[in-house]
Amino acid sequence: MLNIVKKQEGGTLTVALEGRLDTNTAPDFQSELEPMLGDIAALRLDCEKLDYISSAGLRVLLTFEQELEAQEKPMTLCHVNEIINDVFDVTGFLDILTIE
Amino acid sequence: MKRPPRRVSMQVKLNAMVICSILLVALGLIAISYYIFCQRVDDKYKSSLQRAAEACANNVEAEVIGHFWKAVNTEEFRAIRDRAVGEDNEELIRDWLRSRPGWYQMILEEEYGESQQTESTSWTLMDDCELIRDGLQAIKDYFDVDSAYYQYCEGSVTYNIVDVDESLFYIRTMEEPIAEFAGYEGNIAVPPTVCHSDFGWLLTVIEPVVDHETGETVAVAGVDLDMTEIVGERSSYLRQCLTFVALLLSAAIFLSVVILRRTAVQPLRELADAATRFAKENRPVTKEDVIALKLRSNDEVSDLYEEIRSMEYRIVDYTEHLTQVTAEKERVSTELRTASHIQESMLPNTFPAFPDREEFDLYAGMTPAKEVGGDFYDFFLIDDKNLAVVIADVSDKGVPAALFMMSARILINYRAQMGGRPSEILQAVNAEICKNNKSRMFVTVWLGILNLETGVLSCSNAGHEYPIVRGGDGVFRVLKDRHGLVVGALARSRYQDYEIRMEPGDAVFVYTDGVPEANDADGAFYGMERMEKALNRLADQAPRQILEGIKADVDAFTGNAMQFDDLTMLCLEYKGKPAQAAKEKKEQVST
Repeated sequence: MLNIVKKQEGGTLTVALEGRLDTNTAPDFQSELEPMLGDIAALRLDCEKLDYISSAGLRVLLTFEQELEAQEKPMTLCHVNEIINDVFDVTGFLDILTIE
Repeated sequence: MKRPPRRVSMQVKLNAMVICSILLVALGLIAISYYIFCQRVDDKYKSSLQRAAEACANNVEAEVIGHFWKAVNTEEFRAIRDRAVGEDNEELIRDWLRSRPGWYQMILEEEYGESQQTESTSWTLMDDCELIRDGLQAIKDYFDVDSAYYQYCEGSVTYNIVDVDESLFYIRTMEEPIAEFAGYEGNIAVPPTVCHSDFGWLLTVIEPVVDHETGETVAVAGVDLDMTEIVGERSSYLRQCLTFVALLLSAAIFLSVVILRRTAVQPLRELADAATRFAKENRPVTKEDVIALKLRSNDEVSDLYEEIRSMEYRIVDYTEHLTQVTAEKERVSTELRTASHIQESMLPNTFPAFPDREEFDLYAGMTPAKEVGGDFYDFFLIDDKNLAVVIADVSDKGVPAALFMMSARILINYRAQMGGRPSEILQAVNAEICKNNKSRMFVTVWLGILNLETGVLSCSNAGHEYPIVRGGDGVFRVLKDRHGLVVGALARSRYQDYEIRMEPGDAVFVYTDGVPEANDADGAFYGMERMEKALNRLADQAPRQILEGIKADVDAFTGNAMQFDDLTMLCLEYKGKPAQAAKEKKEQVST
């Protein structure tokens, strides 16, 4: 299960993720946010309540990151907990993601 | 428990309804017409009786009645009359009259005087009586009444003077008053009245006989009609009506049964039978099975027929579609099984993999979560003294992951065969994959190249899980190695090498995240700690036993929970150079 709470402030879209971002939830997450990426100035993902991220979830993050990078828009992650941070560390995603 | 309502056929219900309506209407009509008929009949009889009574009253000379009444109203006459009636001997009266010649004339003389005596010398009481009676008889016959009579009342006593049915002229007294006449005084007109008396159930009319000269009522004329006659007429009418209605009703019922059966019940029954045939068809239904009836009517039944027909067509379409979908699904699933076979057979899965090499022992295994998985492992000899070992995990699962995995595996294998350090190999493979990676899939790779002579394991990690190494103390420990980005994410990714110096007996265990992230039924992770503990329980075992032990431990943990991710593990144990070992042995022997 993944709950997605979106909040737009100015051009920044803040998305709070709660639950698991895995094979089952990643496609919905992607299809929900992807159409909005063109209209925003920045994306901020709040990972405070994100319990788990699988490689499918990482793939979506990578997709967003690269699309936004091509448009020169920043994508940041905040409140990344230890479990998620470990995953980013192991997979080398720490090098490409901007984490506050 | 509520019992289902008893089954009653439409035909029965409809017919019952029709019959009830007809019956109701018919009975209502009969009741109304019978009432009107009774009124008419009663009126007819009453007026006829009235006219009869008036005729009786007018038909006789009041004077004659007066004389006659005077003549017979004597004690002596009454006594002889009673005797005659009692003995049924009319001769007694005639004898009595003969014995009293001139008695009647005497009365007449008192009334009319001398002058008329000669003319009526021969006239007798009997003659007068017969005359009056003949008149009554004529009226009775004419008006068809049951009895006609003259009578006179004195207080509560009524004297019948002449009665058409009596063979004797006589006086009969009625001392018992008749209830229905209680309100009437004697010798007045009585309108048609029904009464029950000793004489029976009668309709009676009484008219006074008036002497026009004196204006005196000398007697009354009465006529009776037997009520049973009226009632008989009434009931005969009723019988006729009922017979007629019964005939009509039978005809109506017959028609209603036939018409309802033809227009409603029979088509419905045919429809139900046809629908049942369609529903009970065992094989998949086709367009030929759709009901086709010849309905002549254009009404609700034909609407229903059209609806059922179009519904059955839709069912047929749906069934055909479903058959196709099922076949398609079957085909896909067969293909997936074949793909799974191909995938399995592409990974080296014959153990021992290199029976002639004694420098190392190696065992690996993969359990995909779906038919095809995204994990893979690989190992191969680059040359005589270099063994490459790969473990990798493609993002996501299923067919896309499997396709990606195949190309990644082949790229790594080919590039590794060309030589170079692990980081160079990964960089080259990453650049190749990034060239055309629209799906943005990526793969985490751990690549190690073991120099079989020196025991140096050169490794590079592209975003893969930490390896677990068993060193000289025989304990498995997680090695937090340096991580590069996953392969396929960024074309410019750079990777770094590190070395593990393996002594004979050392081992390295690599795995994909499916192992520590295996879930139990409550969603809890198997975890690194459990895995490390399990490894150390098995620390003294050979690679094959270690992998089997871990698999068993993971299975015991997850229980009945569904496997979410592929489980892939590889364990490599370095045993040292056999030539070196042999040389050492030789040296020992020589000294």
